[in-house]
Amino acid sequence: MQLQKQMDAKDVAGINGCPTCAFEITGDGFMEGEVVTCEGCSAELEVVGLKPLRFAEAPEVEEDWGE
Amino acid sequence: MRAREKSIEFLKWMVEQYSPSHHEQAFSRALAGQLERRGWRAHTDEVGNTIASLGEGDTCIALLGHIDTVPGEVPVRIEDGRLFGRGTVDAKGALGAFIEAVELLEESERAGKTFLLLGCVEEEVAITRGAFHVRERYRPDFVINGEPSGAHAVTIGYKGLVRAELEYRASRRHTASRDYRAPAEHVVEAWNQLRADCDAWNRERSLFEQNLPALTSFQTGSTDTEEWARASVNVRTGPASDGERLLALLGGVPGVTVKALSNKGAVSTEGNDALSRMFKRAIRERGARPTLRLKTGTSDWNTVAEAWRVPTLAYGPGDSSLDHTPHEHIGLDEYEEGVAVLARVLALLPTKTSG
Repeated sequence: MQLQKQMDAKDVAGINGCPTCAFEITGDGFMEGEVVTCEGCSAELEVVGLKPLRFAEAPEVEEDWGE
Repeated sequence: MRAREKSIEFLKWMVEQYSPSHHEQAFSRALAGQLERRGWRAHTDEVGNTIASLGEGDTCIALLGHIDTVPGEVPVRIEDGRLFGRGTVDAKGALGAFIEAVELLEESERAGKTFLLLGCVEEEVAITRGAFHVRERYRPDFVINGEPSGAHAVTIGYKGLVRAELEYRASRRHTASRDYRAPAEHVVEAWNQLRADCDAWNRERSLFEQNLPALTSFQTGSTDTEEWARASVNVRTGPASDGERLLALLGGVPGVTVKALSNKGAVSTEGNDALSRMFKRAIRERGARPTLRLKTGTSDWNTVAEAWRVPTLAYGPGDSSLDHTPHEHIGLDEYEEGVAVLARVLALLPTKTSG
């Protein structure tokens, strides 16, 4: 499902790749909103688009006092 | 999606119906009546919950809210783009957003779905009778718990809650007697054991995982023949906590009796199920970055989780730091964002046939 290799640093990060380290991430089985881990830098990424495949940094979890 | 003319009037009407816990009946009946006029099938059930549904599909999406508020009226008014009133945030704002979001959906967006609105009573008090009642009667496929996360955030977990009452009673003795220990000292010993256990557990654990104890009341007294001490204790627990063990620990002090009032486990979602993904997508479509919250409080999600075991999270517009305060209010724009996000989520959620 995933093919990963070093991308040219000039390539746009986030499209078919990690927005943090530019590692290429491609494949067909992703779902929008899904959280995956980049195998290049271990960043948590969220799938924010499918055509083209786009990734953004996944939202951080905040601890919140209250209800 | 149908076009929406922004309006706070429905929420304002709900907030004007003051409905503190144990006094929800009038509002519940009035809300059911309003929903019927708006095209829902609605009624009040045996414990006073407002139950309403729209749609005929096989995929049931439960919109689990509460119609009670804490006591203390806040004058209802609109000032500087904000609606003030008890329950604007906790949690009639979420309830209103649920209703108005469903009503925005086109027929094609509703196809295959039944939207089940559960306006529960007594969420703000220990027994949460309303949620226990609906838990036994419905089996939804998705659950959105209506509590304020903020329009561009979702709550992905609540801590659990153990509540207990401790008591020590003994025949009266002279305080100068040999080995005299006042009843209060026995109860304090139980509290100290709990406190020490929690401190050890909490080392190197995140806030969500910790056990957070609170001694919420303490009384002593005597009659001609007896003296006694009583205390109320809460512990907010994490996913790996064992509420039964904590209760047993309290009862481990000789002579101290423990009455467990409630023991609800922590709840959380991993965030990769369809419900979570649709919320993140809907919030990003609004141009915002979703925030995921793990809260120290509890909600009706804790009550239904064991029975329902389906994708669940909590969502609602409003700032939860205003809950229970004398100046509780919600921004009009914030409310509209909540309606918009919810409508998009409800349209996107898959049906059993679509997968």
